[in-house]
Amino acid sequence: MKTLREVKQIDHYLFGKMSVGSRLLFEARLLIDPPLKLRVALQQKLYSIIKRSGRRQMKSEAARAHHQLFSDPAKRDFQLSVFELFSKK
Amino acid sequence: MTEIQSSFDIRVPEERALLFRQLYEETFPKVAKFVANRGGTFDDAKDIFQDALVILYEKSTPENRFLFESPERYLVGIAKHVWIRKFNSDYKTIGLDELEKMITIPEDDYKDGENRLTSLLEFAGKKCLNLLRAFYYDGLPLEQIKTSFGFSTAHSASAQKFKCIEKMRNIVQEKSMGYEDFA
Repeated sequence: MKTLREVKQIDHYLFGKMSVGSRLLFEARLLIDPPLKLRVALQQKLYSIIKRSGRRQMKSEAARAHHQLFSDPAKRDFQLSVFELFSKK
Repeated sequence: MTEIQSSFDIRVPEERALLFRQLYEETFPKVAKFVANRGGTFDDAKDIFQDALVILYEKSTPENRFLFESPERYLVGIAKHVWIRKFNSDYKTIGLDELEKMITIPEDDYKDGENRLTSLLEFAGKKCLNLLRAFYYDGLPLEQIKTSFGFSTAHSASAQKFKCIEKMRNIVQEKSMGYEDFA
């Protein structure tokens, strides 16, 4: 399919996986084809959103570790030793 | 610590949960102490430490020797950098050691509008976004993605990736207008 081939091409372009020749050709196309330029910008934006979503997910995993450790009665000493650090002021 | 690190694979979700918990228990007190000594709160320490774990994950490539040699020191180093960035502290007053000076952390290159768009895509395109995260954020090998997402061949996983990009890209286009350009 033509569209998917282009999606793949944009992917290679954005991740610097194109040969010099293909890249120059692609950049020339960008100059004369504003809709293509828009699709490139949107795909780049999508990659940034994917990263952001990945970070969110990973941060929620880290938060889960925190929650487990700070709600476990068996880790009472650990919890107190950390709280102690902030109780001086 | 090195032993613990090598026995858990950070790329495997179940093992990562154990590793995070282990690192939390061993390293969080050190970071908390660092933050408390500089007038930060418990919540600051928590936030910084969790950001540091995320960065640790992103930096966990097989070539990153720091990660395997002393993950605990490495994590503390990352946390210090996160603190410096968050509170605009001066590097010189923090007193970083040699290893810590070599650490770099990724830029927060986010635009505000992307927050809402991200939530929207997480809701409207969950399946595709999960797949795309596996490829682009987690950087999992194609074979592993094939297995965990139930594709019959690596080729079909890869083809689905591009279909998903197209689909998600269209949603981004549709929603960007309303959320950002006219916001």
